[in-house]
Formats: sequence, structure tokens, C-alpha cells
Amino acid sequence: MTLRTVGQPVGRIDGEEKVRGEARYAIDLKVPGMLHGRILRSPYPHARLLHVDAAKAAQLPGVRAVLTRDDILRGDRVERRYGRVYKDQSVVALDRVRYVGDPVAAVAAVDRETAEEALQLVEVEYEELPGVFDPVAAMAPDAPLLHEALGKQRNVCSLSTTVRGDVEQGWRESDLIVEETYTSATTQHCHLEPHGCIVAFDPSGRVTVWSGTQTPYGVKMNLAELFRLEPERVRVIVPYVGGGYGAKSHLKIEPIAAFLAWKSGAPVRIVLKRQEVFFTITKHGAVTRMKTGVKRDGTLVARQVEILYDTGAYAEGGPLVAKKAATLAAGPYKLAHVKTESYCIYTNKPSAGAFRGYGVPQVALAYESQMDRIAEVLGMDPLELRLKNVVEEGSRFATGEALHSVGFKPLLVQVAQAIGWGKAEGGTAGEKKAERGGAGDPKAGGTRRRGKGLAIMIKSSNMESTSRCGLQVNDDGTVTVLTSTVEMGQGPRTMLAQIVAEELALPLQAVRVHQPDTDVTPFDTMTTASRSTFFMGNAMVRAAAEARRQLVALASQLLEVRPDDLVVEGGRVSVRGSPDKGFGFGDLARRAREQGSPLQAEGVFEAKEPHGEEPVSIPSFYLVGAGAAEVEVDTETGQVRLLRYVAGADAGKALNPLLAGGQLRGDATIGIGQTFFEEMVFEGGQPVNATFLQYVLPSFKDIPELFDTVIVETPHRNGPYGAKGIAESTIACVAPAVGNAIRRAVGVRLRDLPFTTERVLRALAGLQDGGR
Amino acid sequence: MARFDLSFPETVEEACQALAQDGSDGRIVAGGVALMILVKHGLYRPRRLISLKRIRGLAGVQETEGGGVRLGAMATHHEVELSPVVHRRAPVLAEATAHVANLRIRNMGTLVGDLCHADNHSDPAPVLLVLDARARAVSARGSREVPFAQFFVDTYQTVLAEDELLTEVFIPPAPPRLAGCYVRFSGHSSIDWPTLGAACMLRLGEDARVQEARLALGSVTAVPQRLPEIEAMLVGQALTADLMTEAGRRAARLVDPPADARGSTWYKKRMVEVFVRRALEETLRRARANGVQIP
Amino acid sequence: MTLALRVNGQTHPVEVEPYELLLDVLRDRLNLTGPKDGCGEGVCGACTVLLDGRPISSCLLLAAYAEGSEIATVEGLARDGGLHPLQRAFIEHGAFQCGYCTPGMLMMAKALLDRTPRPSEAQVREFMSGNICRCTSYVEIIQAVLRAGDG
Repeated sequence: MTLRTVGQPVGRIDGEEKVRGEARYAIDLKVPGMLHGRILRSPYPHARLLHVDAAKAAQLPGVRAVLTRDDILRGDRVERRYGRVYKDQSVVALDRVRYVGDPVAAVAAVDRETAEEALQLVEVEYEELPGVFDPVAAMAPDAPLLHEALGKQRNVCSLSTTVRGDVEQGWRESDLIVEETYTSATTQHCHLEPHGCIVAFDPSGRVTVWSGTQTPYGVKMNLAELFRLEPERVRVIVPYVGGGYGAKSHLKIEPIAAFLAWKSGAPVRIVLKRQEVFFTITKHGAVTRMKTGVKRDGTLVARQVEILYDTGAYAEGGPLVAKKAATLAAGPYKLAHVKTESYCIYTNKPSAGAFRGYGVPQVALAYESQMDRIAEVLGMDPLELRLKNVVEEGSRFATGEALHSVGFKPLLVQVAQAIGWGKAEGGTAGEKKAERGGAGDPKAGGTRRRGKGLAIMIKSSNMESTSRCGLQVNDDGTVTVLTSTVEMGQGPRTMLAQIVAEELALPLQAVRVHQPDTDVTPFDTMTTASRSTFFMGNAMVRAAAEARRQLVALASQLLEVRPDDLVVEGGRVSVRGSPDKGFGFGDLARRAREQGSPLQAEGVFEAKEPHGEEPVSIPSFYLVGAGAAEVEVDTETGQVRLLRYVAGADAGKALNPLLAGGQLRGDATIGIGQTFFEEMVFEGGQPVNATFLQYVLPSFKDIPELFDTVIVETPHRNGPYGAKGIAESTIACVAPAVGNAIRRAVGVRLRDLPFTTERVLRALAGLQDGGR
Repeated sequence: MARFDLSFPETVEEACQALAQDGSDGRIVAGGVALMILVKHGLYRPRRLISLKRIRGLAGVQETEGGGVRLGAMATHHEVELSPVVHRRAPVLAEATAHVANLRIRNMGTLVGDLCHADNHSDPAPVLLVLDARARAVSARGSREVPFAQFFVDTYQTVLAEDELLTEVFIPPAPPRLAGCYVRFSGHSSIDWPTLGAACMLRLGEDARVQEARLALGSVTAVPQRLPEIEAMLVGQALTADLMTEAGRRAARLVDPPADARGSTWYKKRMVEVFVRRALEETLRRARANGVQIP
Repeated sequence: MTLALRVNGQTHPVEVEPYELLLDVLRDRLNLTGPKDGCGEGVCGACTVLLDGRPISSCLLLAAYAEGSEIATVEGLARDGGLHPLQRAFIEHGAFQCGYCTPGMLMMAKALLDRTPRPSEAQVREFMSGNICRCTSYVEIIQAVLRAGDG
């Protein structure tokens, strides 16, 4: 079948709204009578709450509601504790605060200034407790405990393991064993739109939530449970979302806004200040210990991984991140023996949860750096070592399943080619000399050296999950798509419209995509894990096919011709060979409505469906990514310039190459920030750089002048048109690709992210960094 | 936003009177950039802000008699950066100013405001030190001139009294054959605050020996500092590679930078060593480009 | 205090408190929600508007300071219903994803093209460097600005 819209690099369908400044985000919404909510937060990383009194705040003119632990402990409005995995969190702190920024009280007032002033009138007495701020220290037997009441010993929030074969046997079979420790810093998503929501209770007790969330149905279900409501009484509407990257999944600020709205009887809006965003959710810092056994010919035999994810004060989505990472930590290699242990460890820092890459960047740093180490010791080309061991169609993964649609080999070859691998680097001595000549020649007084590096990564999408969608044909011949997939920039509105346009042979402009609204748009598990193209895309193909069937059936009845003799083209259903003989979609929609059966179709896609002979609970698909870097290191300052970067992925099928390329490069750009400088810094549990003035993001000047993408397409048997998700394919490759390039440029191996200029210089100076 | 009053006096005298009247409740605001950030973070809660915006005579950049430069309190960074007078008479100041924050902030913030805020990461501050610039401080009690060498007391603290405001900055005429540069190092993103800024001015004789040397560092110490010891060791010498390397080494020994997110004391000392040398090298390169014959 | 703010060619009398910032006045009083609040401290550029043609961070500018100036926001970029060449180029090149930085990015780019109609790639990077996009790689934005600069 020839595709017409799918596969084309069309501009975003939400483009015009966005460039006109008319796209509405949560922070742009207003509801009549709306109050402004503000949150009082703990100044201590760990303290007992002795006394909380908001009486004076409540008396300030303009204040309409205050929320303290008393409301939760004395009333029965909400559950005392909630949490997606473990119920270790409460709407405001009950007995203890566990990180700087932990909500202690909240107020709703007629304007922001009054709310802010009221916060200062809340009286709180704390008794400071010793805190613990890194996961290794937190596991010590005498470390202060954060959640002993939940039975969490040694601050272990969760432990997930994956075992295949027997690593002990693997070590015996190996000629070389390499063991190293790598660390990654805690970072933040830094979506430009802060978390924002408005919550309103109507007199009947129904709740409406307008929230910039990635998980409308998650918020609906979780809020209903927290407030002891039937889920049908909660409606969640999601406008455009100004970036998410995982930070806007499940309950964040909605519970506080909801409580204030209930107590005040008025709609309450909360929009976080930037500093509060840093307190709300982070990406896990991690310590990864990795041991690999390999044969002399470069065949990988066994790998053992222990990861300590620094999950902060509350479990949030942390255990799910760690659980998934446990299955992925050995990397995309054929390994007979694998053992991974993936811990989530509580510390007195903001909670860590989902972040683009979902635990993989922290392990990919280790396994891809270690691949180069092994290649070096064995005297092999790193590309050759990877090609020798990388998984391919049918390979058994660490989980035991047979992999499908994993085009690592063509991807690796193309990415390496794009960076000029083997040219002037990793090539002959003469070539090497040529590259190290000029500015890099020590005799010339130059201080700069160049090198190239490669990396790959694998990540799975959701296991069990469901997408439903609706589609209706309107009287004007246009089609409206009902979907709860959230548009946060990744482009699902455009992608879904392309699918519908393709299936119904319509121009793209004839397809409108409704915003998520749980009263209107059908159930979808969530917009996470790069799942929408695969899940919602499949549901949409099915819905469109059903709509097409209905259109053809009605036309067939009206025209009295067999359905097989009809063609669907240009918004019409007509008799093959007689384009005049037929009906427009609008006509058919009107007639169908008049007949009492409007043209409406539903599509459903579930991951529980059997995948060939595989067990049912395997991941729906794997993201397959690669990266290649060329760097220039200033050996006097430790500054590393990224001269060139290539971001690659196996898309299965790129439904929109323009948007796909944007995903690969954008994903890698966050990786660039996290490779070189992004890090949330804490001193004794106090965040010292939780603002954009101090926590610097990659800018126009930090991206390489040459920034290419490579897309290979190994069709997925269950994907729409063979497509898979791609939006998390490249982030995890940047740090190891850069680290490998630095190693080849100047001979030092960096193991701790970020690779700051100081760390590079210390490594060059042969100094110990952080005692290792 | 925290609540405060805002007034717009139309003369310096009115502003001084308002400031004298308000005592510690009042505060001068020029562009307001740094101040609004402090207010938004709750680090400063003003009662009354006295704006210089409508005072005629505080705007702009002018050339003074004899070829010096006068910068009014309301001259924005971007005006300084683009000013033909500055490019002619003090080009290194334009060079440093172009590094301040971002273009939007340079369109709002003023050079004088930046100096009064006294953040030690200021890019222009070390340049004003090597330009031997002076500030005019005015109050209801009178007016005085303060050399920038004495202006900064500590980070976020200047010699200005509570009732004083800074109306203008003077840069004296530069002697002939003076070359200079500002080099800046930002270890993280280049849009980040500087880890270090080094300002250098050299006057080289016909024999290419250093007749006069001025060097200052920003960001690595509590206040921007001249390096008189290094200046003294350079004067009378030919600028050889060894001398410049040695100047860097000695400079690193003279400072004791505080460790922070942009580097440890060890690292910052290393960067002082590198960038003092690079500032000298760059100044020499420019002097050559301007026609100084180096044997 | 009562201000007469000139925005996108129209004068709006508006009653503001002395402490109010231009961004809040534009968004809350004049319903111009194109400019966004991203960081609140002049770093990200989502709130960029032009003041007499010069880009500024409206999140740090006292509204009273804007009186007497021509304020331009993204809402005034399209003329007579037609998109500005920058707006078209941003769509064609995929120069945004979530779109939150876009109103500021466009105004910054407009200030550049008004001053330098045919900028080089290096000039685009330098001029735009204070505006942050967390979704794209900036490559697409650079391409769009260069394209719009071609006329």
C-alpha cells in the first residue's frame, strides 16, 4: 500500500495556534471566582512537626481557606496517605517533613500577594532530625530512617532483580573481568511550563480539574481515591502542556488545590514558582556498580549490575523506574548470564520519579563506558566489539524473551559512518597523528585534543496498557478525533491526525483532535513511556477502519452498490470509475444521524493481546537508540567542546520524519545538559541551585554545530505501519558517547556525571575525585 | 509579587530627599533587574522604591573633555555595549558588557545598577578596575567621588551610605598605546555566570617592554580585585611566554577563591593561572595587531 | 496608578499596583497570554516582549516602566490575519514542540531580523542565546530564523 500522509514530514497541526500565542496552557486558564493557592514548605530536610497553627493566616482579609495537617487528621475528607506505589505521602506533612520543600500548609486567597502574605502568618515549630542525603550513606545500618513506620529497613524503598543464567559460572567462563562504579547526579526535568492546575467543586460534589498533566485518567483515578469519591465524580481536562518529560505524571499539586477548593467552596488555582518545580519531582541520581566477564575474542559472557537509585523522600514513581531498569541494566547485548539488583533508596531530598529515559541513562552510562574499556583492554575497535555482541532479531534478552524490531546493527553502522568513525580516529597511526596535529600538537603549544565516541541503548515501553479512542464524522465532512493522549510537544495530535487522514483518504486539515477531557475522551492509560504512537496509533487505525466501514456501508445502502465497488477518496465515498456517483462524508454523516445511528467509531488497543508465541506480559516494544560524538578537550581547563553529534534510533517506521528528527535531537539535547553540567546541588540537604539562574540548561551555544540524526526502520509487527515510539531513544547515549570520545581524545575515563570541566581537569591531573 | 510603593522623582535632588526621608525603608531602583529577582525570592522586602527612570541627565553615555567617558546611572548594559564612545575610548568595557546575562537583561539592567548590586560575578566590574574608573555618589548631604578600587566592600556590599545614590561613572582618558582585553571563562554553559573573569590593560613601549600593566580578576574573590604584585613584576619586562606563564602562576598563589557549584578552590586557582596568562597573551596579540612591533 | 500602555499598536488605559510587573499586567489585565512565565528571573525568555523594538524580560520589568513605550507581543506578530514569515518558518522547520517558549523565541527572532535582516548562523546563535527551549535542539529554530531571514 502506498502511504500518502503517513511518513510525510508535515508541519504540526497545532503549529498555527502555537506561533500565534493562542495555544492555551494550564497557566493561561481562568475560572470565574478563582482563588490563588500557595504552599508553605519546609525549610528543613528532616524534622518533626511539633506545632502547626494557621489561625492567624486564616484571619487575614482576603484569605478564603487554609490547609494544615489538622484538616487531614481530624476530618474524613481525604485519605491520610497516598502514593502511586507505596502510600508514604500525605497532602501536607502530618508528623514529619522529609525534604526541604515538603508541603506543610497551604492557603487560598483572592490574589497571589495575599496568599503569599498569609503563608508568613502560619506558625510552625520544627524539631530538626538528622538527615541522610546520599543513597550509599542511607543504606548504612545506623543511618536515620525516613519511613520506619512502613517497615522500610535501611531506607530501602524497593528492590527489583533480574536473573538469567548464572553469573558465577559466567565469571569462570570469562578470560577478562572488568568491574567499575559509575555515578549520575540528581537532575530536574525543567519543562518550561511550571506545574499548574485549577480545581473546582460544584455544588453536587463533582470535581473538575484543569491540569497540565500527562496522565488525565491517572489524576482522575488517584484523586478520586484520595478524596474517597466515585471516579465518575472527577473530571480532568488537559489543555496544551508546556513540556513534561515525565514530571507531570500522576498526582503532583492537584491534591492541595483540590483540598483548598473543597474547603473554600471556590475554584482554586495553583501555579508553582520555578523553585517549587525543583522540589516537586527530580530525576534519580544513581550509583551503578557493573561487573562484566568477557572472552578473549570479545564475546560477552556475564554481567552483574547493582544500582542504587536515590529516590528522595517519597516513593512516587521511583520503584517503577527501578523495576524497569532492572530488566534493562545489562544493555542490548547477548549475554548468557545476567544478574541485576536495582534498589530505590530513600534520602532527605525531593522525590525522584519518571524522567525521559526512565532509569536507563544511569545504567547506559555504565554499560557503554564499560564496552569501550573492554575494547581497549582487548585491543578491539569499539564499534566491532559492539557489532559482535549486540542483540538482533530473535536474540534472547536478559528477561528471556526473544527480541523483535531491534535494528541495532544497521543503526550502529550508520551512526558510526555519520561521525566519520575510523577516519582520523581509531584508524591507522598515520591518521591518528594527522588528527592530533595542528592545534592539538603539544609541540605547537596547543592545548586541544580531539576524539570520537559511540554508544547505544535499549529501553522498553509499557507492559500492560490500554488505549481507547473515538472518532466521529461531522456534518461538514470533517472528522473529530477523541483521544486522551496529551500533547506536550511530542506531536501526537499531528501523528494521530495523519493516521486518520491516511485511513480515510482525507486532507490533514479535515481532521480535528479534541483535547483530553475525561468526560468526553475515552480511557487511555497515560501519555508516558513513548507509548502513544504505538498504542494510541493502533487504536486510531482501528477506529478509522471502523469509520471507513460505516461510511462505505451507508453509501453502499444508499447507492445500492456492493461495498467492494466503492472507493473512499477526497472526503467522498463513490462508485469505482464514476466519481460523480457518490456521497461526501458530510452528506453521509447527516443521513446517518437522521437514521439514528451517527457515524461514530471506537478503537481499542491493549498490550495484553497475544504477541505471537510470546508470553503475554512482555513489553509492547523496545526503543532502540544510538549516539556518536566528536569532542575537543582543552587540556588546560578541562573544557570539552562537543564538535559534532549524531543521534540515531530505530523508529520501526517514522510516521512523520520532521517530528521524528525533532524528537531524536531534542532528547539528545537534554542529554547534553546532563552530560556536561546539569546537577541539583545540595548542601546538608539544602538545595543550592534550584532556580534557572543557578541550574543552567543547554542553550543555543551548547549544542554542536553539526548535529545530525539517523533513523533506521525495522518495522514492528504490531506497530501501526510498523511504527514504534522513539522519544526516549537518544538521551541515554550522550554521556557514554561523550565519555568514550574524551577517553580517546585525552586518555582519561570519566565515571561521574556531570562531566564538569573540573572533573575532566582533575582526571587529567591524575587527582582523585571524591575519594575514588 | 510583594507589595511596595514606587515613586518617580524627576531630579537627583528629589531622589536624594526621598531617600533621606525614607531611611532604611527606601531603596533606589534603576533598571530593577537584580532587585526584582531579590524581591521575588523574598530575599528583600522593600517598602518604597525610588526610581531613577524619569530623571533627565542620568541617561546615556558621553565623551568627556580629554577623551574620557561618562556613563549615566540609567545607561543600560546594551547601550554601553553598542556605544561608539565606549568602543572608541574603552573598548574592553564594551567587550565585557556583552557577556552580561542575556540581551533582554542587558536592555533592562544598567551598568551602575550592576555595580551597586555588587555581585562578585559581575563582568564589567574588573574592567572598571583596570580602567581606573570612578563613581560619583550623591546624597542630600552632598556629593563625592569614589574610585572603584575602593568601591566594593564585600559581595553585595559597597561603600555607598544608606542615603547615597550613584549617579554616574567616569572613565579617565586612556594613555596612548594602551591595549587590553577581558577574557571570561564559564565552565558550565557559556550562558552561565563566569567561573572567572580577567581584565588586562598593558602599555607597551617601542621596545615591546611593558611600561604599564593593569590586571584585575572577577568572580574568584569576594570582590573584584586588581593584582598589584603581578602588575609590578611585569613592568619593565619583555612579555615572553615564560613571563606570562609565571604571571599566571603567581596570580594563582595570590587568590584564595571560595569553592562553589562552579568549582573548588583548587580548580579556580588553576583557572586563574590559565586565564591570567591567556589574558596577557590576548592583550599582546591585540597590541601587535595595533602595530606594536614585537622583536 | 493608572497607566496608558501601548501594546501592539493600541493604547490600553490600565489601573495597576505600583509593584506589578509587565508580564502579569499583560496576562491578567489585558488577556495577552502569549508571553509566558517560565523561570520568573529573566533567564528562560518565555516572557520576552519588545519594548520600542528591544527584547526584554517582562517578568522582571515594573509595568510602570513600560509606559510611553511601544510594547510588542507575539499576538501582534501576524498582520491582517496572515502569519509573519517567522511564524511560517517556525512551523515548517519544526522549530517548537510544546510551544511554551515559542512566543518569546519569535519575538527575540523578530528583534534580530529587524536589526539584521539576513543574519549568519553564528549571529542567530549569539543573539538568541538567552532564550531557552527544553524540547528542541535549537537546530530547528536556527534553520527557521535563517529561512525567515531569506525573505
